[in-house]
Amino acid sequence: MKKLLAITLALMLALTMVAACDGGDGGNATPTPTNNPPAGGDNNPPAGGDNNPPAGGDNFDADRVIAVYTREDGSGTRDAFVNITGVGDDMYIEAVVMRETAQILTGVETSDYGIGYVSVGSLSAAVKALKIDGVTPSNDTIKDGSYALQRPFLLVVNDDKIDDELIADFIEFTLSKQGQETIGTTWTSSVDDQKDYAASGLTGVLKVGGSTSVEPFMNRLREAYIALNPGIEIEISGGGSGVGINEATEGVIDIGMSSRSLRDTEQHLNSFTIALDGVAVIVNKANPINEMTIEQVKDIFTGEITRWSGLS
Amino acid sequence: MKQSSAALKIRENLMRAVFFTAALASIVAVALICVFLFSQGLPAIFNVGVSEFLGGTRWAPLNSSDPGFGILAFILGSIYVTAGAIILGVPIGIFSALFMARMCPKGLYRFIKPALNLMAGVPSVIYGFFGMVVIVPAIFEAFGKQFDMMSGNTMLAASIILGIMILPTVITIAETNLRAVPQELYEGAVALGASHERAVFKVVLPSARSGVMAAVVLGVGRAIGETMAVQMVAGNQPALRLPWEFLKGIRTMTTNIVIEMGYVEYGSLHNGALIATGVVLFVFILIINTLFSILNRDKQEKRSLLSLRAKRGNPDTKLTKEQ
Amino acid sequence: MKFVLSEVNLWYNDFQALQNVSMDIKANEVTAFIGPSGCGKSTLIKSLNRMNDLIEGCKITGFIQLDGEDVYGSMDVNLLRKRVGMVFQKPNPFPMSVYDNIAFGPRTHGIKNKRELDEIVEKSLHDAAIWDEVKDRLKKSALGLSGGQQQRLCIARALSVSPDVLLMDEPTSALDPISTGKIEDLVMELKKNYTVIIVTHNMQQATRISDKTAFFLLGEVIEFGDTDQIFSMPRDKRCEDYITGRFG
Repeated sequence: MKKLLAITLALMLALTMVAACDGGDGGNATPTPTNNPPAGGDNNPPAGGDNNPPAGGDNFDADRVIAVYTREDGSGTRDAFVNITGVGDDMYIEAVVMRETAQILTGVETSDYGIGYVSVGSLSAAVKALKIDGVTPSNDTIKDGSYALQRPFLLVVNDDKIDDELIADFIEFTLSKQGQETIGTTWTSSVDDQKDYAASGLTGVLKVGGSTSVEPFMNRLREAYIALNPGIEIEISGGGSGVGINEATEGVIDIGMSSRSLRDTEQHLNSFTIALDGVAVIVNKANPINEMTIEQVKDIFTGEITRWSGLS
Repeated sequence: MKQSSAALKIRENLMRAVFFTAALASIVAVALICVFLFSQGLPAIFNVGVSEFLGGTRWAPLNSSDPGFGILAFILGSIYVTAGAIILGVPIGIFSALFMARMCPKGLYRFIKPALNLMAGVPSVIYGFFGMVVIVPAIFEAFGKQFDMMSGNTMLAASIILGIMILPTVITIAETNLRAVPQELYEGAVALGASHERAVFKVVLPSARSGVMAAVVLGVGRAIGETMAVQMVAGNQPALRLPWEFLKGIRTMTTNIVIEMGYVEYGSLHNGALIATGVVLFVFILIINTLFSILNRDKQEKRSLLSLRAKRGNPDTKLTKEQ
Repeated sequence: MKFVLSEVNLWYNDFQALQNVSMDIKANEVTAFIGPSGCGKSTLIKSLNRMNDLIEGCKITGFIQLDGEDVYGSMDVNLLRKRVGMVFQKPNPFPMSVYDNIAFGPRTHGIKNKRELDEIVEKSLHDAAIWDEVKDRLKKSALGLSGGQQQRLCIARALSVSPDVLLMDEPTSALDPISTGKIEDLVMELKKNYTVIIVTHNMQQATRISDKTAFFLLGEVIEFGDTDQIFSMPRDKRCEDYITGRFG
């Protein structure tokens, strides 16, 4: 019995020492907070009435640590967020990981010093959505492009396939009322003039591939489309936006999915914007801050800024 | 005559086959799980490299340029929260078991025992919810300012919740074993002038030592495999921690699997790595269970052997080797 | 007089186990309680060190005095049990080393000094005539001893707290003849320094080792006197019948 205890303890100590040696670089650098004291004017007083003024504004201690909440690696929302803000692979390792939108909302709602992100369609009134670069997130500001934290969902088709009957019909469906309906509240529709779609009765197989962020939307479209046109089959593959664009160019697939705009070198493809993906940054209602720049958001979520007082 | 005995024989054999198949079914199930785990997990481990996998501190499977598949942080995470659960839950459990077995008035026992059974049946999600709503904010309230914490989602929260969850297991088994201690041992101690408490702590408890150990081991098994409740309160940061950083968030092997499993591409190395985490977990549980059976079997054999010798009353039989 | 019992009655709930028991027990003598099963012998000796207190529903009236003090009065029960030791029918060594078994009693009563404990352990094991057999295995588990050795260990354990009285409840009924003989010899030695009260089913044992004998029947003491006299010329017919084997 004593021997067992001794061995177990020794093992734990050994593992700890190995860990300590490896993690010796400290992991996260805690930067010295920028010394600019928050002057009275850098938090724009809320215009209109869409952001409730902070109730307990006096109790907000800006020297407290920012409680960063993030989604799990692999979530579409996180993917959108890290791509748009430029956080990329450098998500702050100390950020609390929550598995669902609801948990992010609860986390920020119950934590005075919390910050998180959810898709614009999932916003709740219990939290405060920050203005980004001066713009409040909403379906409208996403549509007119003024809200910066957004990205387009594109379908791309190569020139030599653009006249294909089946492809054209599917694209028509996607941009139609019935197609755009499937967006629900998850994303934002960018199509103003939504026509009615009538089933074409065509048959055949469509190969669609590319962005895994667009994939959930494509799945919904596929389901609705095939319900109307049972003779058609759609094969969906992943691989990422880059893969989708390349394979569409090479003709391996019929339609490519992309969750970013086309670069100059990719302008030869025909692109159709089928939806807009907006991400809102949320904070607790007691937080006196009402807006941030994308740069600030990125700094918080990479761990560059760790305290509320560090925002200049 | 002949016909009925033959029919009887056939029926018996049939029933035996039925029972055998039923027993086989559970073995087959476990075997299938093993096959699944190892066939998908082992290649991934070897692909990443055993030392890199088990000892690597960077977990970044979706990083396109420089993926990392080290799960050391999660192995340690599981060990830490389990150790915390043991430290918090076992003393309370053993003392409760002692109270219930040897000091509890009958009326109180009638309330406590069903309450304990109820505790055992509560689903982990509820415990997790309780942790999220009560424990996590409480920890943040108590230590948040002083220790510059982000939130109450910490190793400590996970250990507290796990400590509570293993209580029914530990208490029930320990209590049974304490009750099973022969009354003569207790009487022998009391007859020497020992108080009730001294007799219970110094004689009854040590006599039930192996049974209580078994209860603890079972509790460990429960704690190390818990997923839902831990994931809701632990913070889930994929960071490497030192044992005294219990006010920081942590991710265990189990929560790592559940957090990322939903999004993995089937067949990818990411997928394999998650299953391989399951393999490591499986090995842990195997070790724990083996420990449990060794503890039980050893003491059981020893006791029966010695009591047999005492019964025979062999005069002056010296033992040839100490057992 | 070591023990003075006067009009002792005992009930287990509604069942009366002892009826009007009165007797005087002399110091430094071996007193045997004999009688058929279930007639109060064990119950009575358990009353002498208040082990009956552990049994729920047990009620006792009358007087039991130890050296003039009322056992059921203001006496500290733990100290009582220190003065009045007990050896049980089945050997019940603690699952510890031989040393710790013997040291348990002294430690309970406050002795912590290692040298003192060593001395006590050695003396007790000597007094119980088992020192030679265990001196090389003091730190090994007591459960490794044979039945006879375990019982002598229990006697040593009882002696370790320096009692005045030793109560023995059928101590040899679970043992083989050779061990029994050893323990009987031991009792004869012990009475020089201790008062021994022994319950036994074995009448030959009673004649061999006891000075006084009490015959119990259905909770009553039918006859009590010198062992020689009880066994050669019993006054009560029931006692005679029991002794000659007509019943019991």
